[in-house]
Amino acid sequence: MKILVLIDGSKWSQKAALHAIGLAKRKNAEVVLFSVLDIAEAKAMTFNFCAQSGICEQLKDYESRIWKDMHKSIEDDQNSLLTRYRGEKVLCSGKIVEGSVRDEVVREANSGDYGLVVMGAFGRSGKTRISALLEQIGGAVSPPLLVVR
Amino acid sequence: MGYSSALIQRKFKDIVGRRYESVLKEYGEFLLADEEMLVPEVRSILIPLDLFAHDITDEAIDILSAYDATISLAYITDAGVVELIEQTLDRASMEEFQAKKEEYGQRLLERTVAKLEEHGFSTQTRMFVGHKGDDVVQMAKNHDMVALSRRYANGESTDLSISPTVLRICQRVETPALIY
Repeated sequence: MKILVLIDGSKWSQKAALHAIGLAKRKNAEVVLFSVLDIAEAKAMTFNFCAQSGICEQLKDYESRIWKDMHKSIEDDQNSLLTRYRGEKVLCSGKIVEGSVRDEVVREANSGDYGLVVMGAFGRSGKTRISALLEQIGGAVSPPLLVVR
Repeated sequence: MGYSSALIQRKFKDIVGRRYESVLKEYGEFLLADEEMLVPEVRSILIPLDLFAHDITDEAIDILSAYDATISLAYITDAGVVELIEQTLDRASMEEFQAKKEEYGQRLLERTVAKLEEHGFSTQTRMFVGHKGDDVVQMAKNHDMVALSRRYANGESTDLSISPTVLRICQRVETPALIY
């Protein structure tokens, strides 16, 4: 079996990844850590940051810097999880793509390779509400979906 | 994002130093505490069934088999429908409806128990009149995981959308939820 674990940098996706370790060991499954980076998110973050800080003339500089940092940050997140997985002797790899989160997750999950998708119950906004991603992909992904708290 | 989460997760601890404990208390929904690195064992799994969620798929059974867990099957007859029939028709019609639902539920539970036991699961069952969303959330408090068909309490829709009741249950339970 192959397990797809969605990693968005939140503590909830880290918990999902930790839960998937035990599952992968018991099922002798291979795990793919999957992250999607959306440039729209970098733009929103940049605009809000620059507008609130009064540095709107540096908008484009900050956008490229934040976009680069988003890449580095998710790579670091995945690398630390990959180290943990390898320490547990679980076959694991990481995959980072750019695009619409919903579209890329559905495409990957339905590629035919996966027996399970694992995700956190909440996103980076905390526990205010259930992950918006769950509502978007819940009915669109073919494999069973494990939502971890 | 990853950007701000990394800032919090890896750098923020150093910035706040001795204040970290109070920050962790206040911002616990964003920070992964050390004790959360341990994944709780799953020893009991709740699976609600109904007319629309009448089969546990082989894929779901395969995943559930990874846990050394007892499975509790629950068949809940919608109390709202029972009340509505009594109000709009009469008590005899309501009792007839309820008896038919119980007969169906009993057969469904027996069939599902047999299937699960073939796969080596130990099972228990429960059948009652109640509210599907609220009662599943309440029962989930005594289980380590809940497994839900995408169609639970949703009717025989032909599209692949997820039942609003399933989403509401996922929002409210404190356990992991397997949606199949």
